Amino acid sequence: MKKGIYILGMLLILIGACKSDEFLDTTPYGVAVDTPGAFFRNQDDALLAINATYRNLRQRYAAFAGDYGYGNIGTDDAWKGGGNPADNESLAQKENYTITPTIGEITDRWGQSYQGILNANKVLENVPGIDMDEALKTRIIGEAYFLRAVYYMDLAKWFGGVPIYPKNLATPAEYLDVPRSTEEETWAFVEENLLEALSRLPKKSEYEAADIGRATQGAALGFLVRANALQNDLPQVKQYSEQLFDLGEYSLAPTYKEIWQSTGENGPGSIFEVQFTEAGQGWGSITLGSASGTAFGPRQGNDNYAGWGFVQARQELLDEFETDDPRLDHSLFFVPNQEYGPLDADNNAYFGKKVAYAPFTDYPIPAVPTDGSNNWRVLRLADIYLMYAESIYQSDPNTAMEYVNRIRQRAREGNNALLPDITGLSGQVLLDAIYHERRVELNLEGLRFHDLIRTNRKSILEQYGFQVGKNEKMPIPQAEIDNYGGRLPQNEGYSN
Amino acid sequence: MKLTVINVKHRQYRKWLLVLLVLLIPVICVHAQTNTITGKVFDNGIPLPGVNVFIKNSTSGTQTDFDGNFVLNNVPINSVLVFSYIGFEPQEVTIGTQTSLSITMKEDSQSLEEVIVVGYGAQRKSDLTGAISSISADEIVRAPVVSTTQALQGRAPGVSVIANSGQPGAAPLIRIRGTGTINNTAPYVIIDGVPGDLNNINPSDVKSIEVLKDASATAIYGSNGANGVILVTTKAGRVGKLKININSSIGTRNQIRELDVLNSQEYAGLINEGLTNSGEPARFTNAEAAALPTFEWGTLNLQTGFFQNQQVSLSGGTEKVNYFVSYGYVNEEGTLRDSNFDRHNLRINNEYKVNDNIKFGHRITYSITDQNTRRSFGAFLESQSAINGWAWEPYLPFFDQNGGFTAPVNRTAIHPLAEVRFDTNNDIRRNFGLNAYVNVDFLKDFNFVSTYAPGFGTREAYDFDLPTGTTFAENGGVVQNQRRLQTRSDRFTGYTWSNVLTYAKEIGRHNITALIGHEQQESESFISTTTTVDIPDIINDPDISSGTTSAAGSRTPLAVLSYFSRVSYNFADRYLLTGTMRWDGASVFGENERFGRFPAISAAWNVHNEKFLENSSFINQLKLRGGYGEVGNRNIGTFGYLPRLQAGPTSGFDVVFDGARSGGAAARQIANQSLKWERAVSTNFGIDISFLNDFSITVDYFDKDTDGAILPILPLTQTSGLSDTTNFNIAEINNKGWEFSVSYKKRFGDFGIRATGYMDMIDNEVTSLDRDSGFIASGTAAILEDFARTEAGFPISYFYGLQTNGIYQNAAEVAAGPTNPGDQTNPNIVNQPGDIRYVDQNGDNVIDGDDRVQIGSPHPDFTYSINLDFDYKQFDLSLFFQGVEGNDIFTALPYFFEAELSSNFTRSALGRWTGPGTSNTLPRLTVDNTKNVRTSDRYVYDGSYLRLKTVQLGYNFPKEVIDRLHVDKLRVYFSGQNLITWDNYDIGLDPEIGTTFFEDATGPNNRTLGLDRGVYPQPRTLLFGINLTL
Repeated sequence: MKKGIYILGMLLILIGACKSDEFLDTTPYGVAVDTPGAFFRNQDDALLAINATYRNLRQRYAAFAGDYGYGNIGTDDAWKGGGNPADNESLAQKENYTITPTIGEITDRWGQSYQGILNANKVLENVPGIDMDEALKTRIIGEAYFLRAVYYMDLAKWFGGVPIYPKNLATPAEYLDVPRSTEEETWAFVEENLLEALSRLPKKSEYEAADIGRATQGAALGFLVRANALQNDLPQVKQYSEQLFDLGEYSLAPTYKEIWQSTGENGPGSIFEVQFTEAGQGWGSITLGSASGTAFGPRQGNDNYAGWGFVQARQELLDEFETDDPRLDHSLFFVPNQEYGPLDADNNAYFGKKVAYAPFTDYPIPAVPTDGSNNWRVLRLADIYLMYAESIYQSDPNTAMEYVNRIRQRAREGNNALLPDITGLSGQVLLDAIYHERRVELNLEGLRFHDLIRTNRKSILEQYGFQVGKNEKMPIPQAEIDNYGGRLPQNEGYSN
Repeated sequence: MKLTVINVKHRQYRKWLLVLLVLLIPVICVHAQTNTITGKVFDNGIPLPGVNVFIKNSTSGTQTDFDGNFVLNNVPINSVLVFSYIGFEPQEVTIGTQTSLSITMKEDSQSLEEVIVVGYGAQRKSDLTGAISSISADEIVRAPVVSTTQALQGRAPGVSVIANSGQPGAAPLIRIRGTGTINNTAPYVIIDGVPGDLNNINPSDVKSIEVLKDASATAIYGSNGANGVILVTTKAGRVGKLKININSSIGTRNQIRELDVLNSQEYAGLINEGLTNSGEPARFTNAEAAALPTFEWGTLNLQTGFFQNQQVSLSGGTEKVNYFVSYGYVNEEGTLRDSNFDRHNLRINNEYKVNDNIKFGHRITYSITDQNTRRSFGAFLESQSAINGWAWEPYLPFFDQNGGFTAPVNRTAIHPLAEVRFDTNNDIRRNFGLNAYVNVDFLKDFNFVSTYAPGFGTREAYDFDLPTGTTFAENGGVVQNQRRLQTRSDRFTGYTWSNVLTYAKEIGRHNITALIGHEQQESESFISTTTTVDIPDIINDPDISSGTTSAAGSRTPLAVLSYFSRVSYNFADRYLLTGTMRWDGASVFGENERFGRFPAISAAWNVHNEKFLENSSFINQLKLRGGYGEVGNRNIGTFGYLPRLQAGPTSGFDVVFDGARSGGAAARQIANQSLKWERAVSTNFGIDISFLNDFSITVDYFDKDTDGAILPILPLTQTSGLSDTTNFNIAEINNKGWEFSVSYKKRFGDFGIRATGYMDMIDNEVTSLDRDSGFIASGTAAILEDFARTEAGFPISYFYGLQTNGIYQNAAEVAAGPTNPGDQTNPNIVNQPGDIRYVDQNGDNVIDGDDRVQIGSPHPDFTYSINLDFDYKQFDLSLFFQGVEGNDIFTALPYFFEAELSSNFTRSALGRWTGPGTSNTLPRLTVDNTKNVRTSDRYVYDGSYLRLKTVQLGYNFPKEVIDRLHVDKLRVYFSGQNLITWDNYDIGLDPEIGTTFFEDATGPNNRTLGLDRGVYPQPRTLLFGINLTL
């Protein structure tokens, strides 16, 4: 009897422990699962997915990888700056065009664009099937087309023709089977997507306040203008510019200075901005801010500022400003005796206010240096005006001058002694006046490098080491060349 | 009269302790009778209680009492008394007319054969078939160290223990039979049958430690067996009177070496020379240099650390109950100021016998550790407290005119004293554990043990520091707004429940033992961390409300379910066969990969028990062993198989609209739902020989293949839009090697000697690394990066860089050599005489990344240790040597102290190149030293060393003295640790280098082995101790 009880008891214990499946199902706290049916269930999921698609823009413009570095450095507008000539390899290589395919700037730019494309494709594939508010659904799909276009545009602009994925593929290996498209095909895909976006997106004024910063019809048109300008397709620039004006949504902000203040964010002349805010929650990926103010601010002169000193204005840019042009003071500030300042022997430097914190703008210095709240102004109405002027300077010089003069009028701030209207110009003289206005008005906005290339003024870049036929494009990241095992040809002039 | 008084007092003391004890333990007393024959039974001079004493061929008998005394009635003259006690040879004594006897029991030769704890059971050593090393309590307490892990150093072949740091309380790196994985190599530690932490266990509580090394021994632990298993058995009370053991030691710790840095005149000379070589004006005129005072910065943060270790234990028992209660307190100060460690340990081990068949017991432990550490984590001088001070400009006074901390010249650095004052890094851990069990013998051959062991632990860390790169304001103050507080709070709860049913049967010469078991574990850890910045200057000791705080955290549950079985068969003590099987299911894997099966088989032949050797006078033992098994490693994180969607504020996918956070969610990696255990397949062959009674030798050969080692793999292409790595089971690593142990034990009258030597030779190789790039690069030290590589065909984490071939002595040599761009952004810098001549491996006349080759390996050719124990009358002396041979150290010190102009140099820098023929090893000094500080064998040093680890001289007070003091044993000893080191690593503070903590990781990492960035060196300890048994 006693023995029986022992044996029974023990068997019970052993058997009782056998319910293994439930026992081994532990809860993965903090983990959201990406399996079919677990995501894209409803409207909220659709919003999470489209929001994440904007993320690579935030990442791109948060620091060095933004156009403030690569669009300005290596041109006649800006020195690299920093702590010494070698500080930041990626930027140093851009400064003298010794760009190698392994630097972070190249790899990041490539990879982040494709991350955005992956997420845009996910939205385009999954959101149409969700049972949700139809207007919102249409908008989200429109945003996805817009963002996909923006990411491919960045790739086309910097790398030329790239592999195009209109859909996500089932396994990473399948991606390797898609060859590089030509640059023309890539631009065509960009435009196609912008048009799809245009037909779905609301106007800027149709958005609720809480959605400020999302893609709009105006932004789609604005990017069509820019995309065509980059391809030097002036009739299209004209057409889309006029379509944009016809929206009646935009006007120049009353003053130049206010554009670069926190109060000027998403103002009347703003067509698209990448949105930042200071999360105020310390270090780590929790930040929602931009490091630009720190990266491109002075290293010395203000202990609270503690910048890293990159992107310092060249004398050539300072010289481009007409006498007493108020925009000089609204755009640049002088700081003496930097650790490294190639401007002169005393290491003096000019930095840009367009990304700066207080006291140079009204943006507060963030508690965490990488958490500044300055939005990045990607596309402004003034830019469209000047591209429009370029597109019609031969066919309609008077209208072209009118648009240039609108910008000059705002710039002179009521002081008629300054920046007189341009009148009676035509031909190359008018075009040069437009170029001049463009360089001053849009100084250090990251446009100079491609402006010089698309208007075939590459000789200006050549003095810094730019090689025609090579440096118009960046090299494809070496890691990707390796990954593709010979199926992804490198850009002209770059060796593996 | 006087003696009696002492005696009474002594007894009162003991009674008082007993009363205390009764509060904890129910004591059931045994009463003694009184009658005609009286006597006392001893074991090795110590009274032995509980010995059965009976008259042969009769039923009358008794037991010795607490003091080993017995009284037996009605003993007929000339009768024979039999004394028996478990573990001792029965003794028969013929009684003449004596009425008083003194008996000394001899240990049973059968039981002299140690019983070895194996997984879920115990075996006689002669029955073992696997590779198991056993370490006794005696060996563990002899090392004057406070952690059980440290005590294992050099105590078993194949078990490598390397100090990661001399920081008090720092956990050493422990590896069994080489580095079998790129991931966690920590062995599985079982304390009294349940998983535990070796660093939490008080060495004084340890009765024995067994190290299971080959898969045939560890397979019973299945998915936890790949890194080897360490089994710790803690002490238990023995039947007998209350025994009080006190072990108290105090001592000092000092830094063994100092860096030999330059005085101000020499320093000024080198600075001037470097500036002149670079075409810049000299900093000091001759007159200025001659007038400079010299201050000794290096010793500013050094101290003589005080050390104390107080251990007290109470143990004893009756037939029904035994108990072991211990309390230990350790306080260690480091050789760097404000680095210290203290620990409290409490243990209560009780066992209760219900009847002859049923007993149950509990082991209760509680420990608190409190550690304050100094900086020892970063790539640069200022984050390495041990060497930071030595680099300071020697002519600078410690304080400026206002009494503020001196600021360095032209560089950022942290003042050694400011660091001590402003940098707080405190870590407090508390652990509670209960281990309750019931043990039932039934149906004669069956035994059932059920163990339930819940536990919980907490950890609180408070790290308030000056971030690296902090500069000092003109007034010598600290830039307060850069201060940062990081806290961490962990809570861990869990339990292990195991049930083992054992059947043991002897049928003639066939002996069979079989067991089946079940075990389940559930645990959960909560971790929360905070970071606080913007701390106002006015708050000296901030909490997390003192500034802007961000928080992070995790909750991680784990469940493991296992079934296991082992069958051992033994024929006539000659042929032994053991088979084990374990099935493990773990919640960390996907549904289809949860269960793994881990089989093993092993056999042994006790040749000495064969007829032809039975009567050999030469061979005492000759045993051949062989085994094969498959085991796993599941120390690989949890839920790695899940396809993850990143969401929430820390995902990085949130964006901003209208100036406010707007949530985003997306995936960054592909999922690998078939992620599973790393699996190690190992074979082992061993031979045990003992001969001429005094000698024994054990040799083992093993070959261990880790298959499916987990590697994080980047997405196949970035165009897929995925950016993060996914873990795959794709690497293969092989460790094979030899282990030797030799021992000699002999007694010549009063003089006894025992010598043991261990050695192991392990060959580590990554056999396959299925990764696109073909290698994993790792390592950061000063400006040097990626100098360690893990690559197929090489050992894990070997050193990789340029090979040097002397110094260019003249322009002709430079012209004949390849160009050395050094710095890609400055391609025009050309070599000059006095620069390093790197070897142009590919002959393309340019020194670049393609010229890098293997320049060293952190893995030793062999490691060895020698133990020598002598005793002569009341004295005992033990010497313990430990060494490694053939490993390399990658050290940043030549960069800090022989190349950098901005900080002080070691004396070795005086041997730099100053003209043709002056040096063929150290290049000329320049401001821009880029060309001469490239990652090369300039930083690779021989890491071999032999250390006199421990010397201990003890004196046992003779019987007359201890009798008069009414104590059972009194021993005093002097001990020293790390007394002498023989090595070639003259540039650094200590050749004993373990793994380096990655700045971004939570633990030691096998991808940076043997790296010295200014390691906190091992101290030299001198101590005096008393060992008292009442």
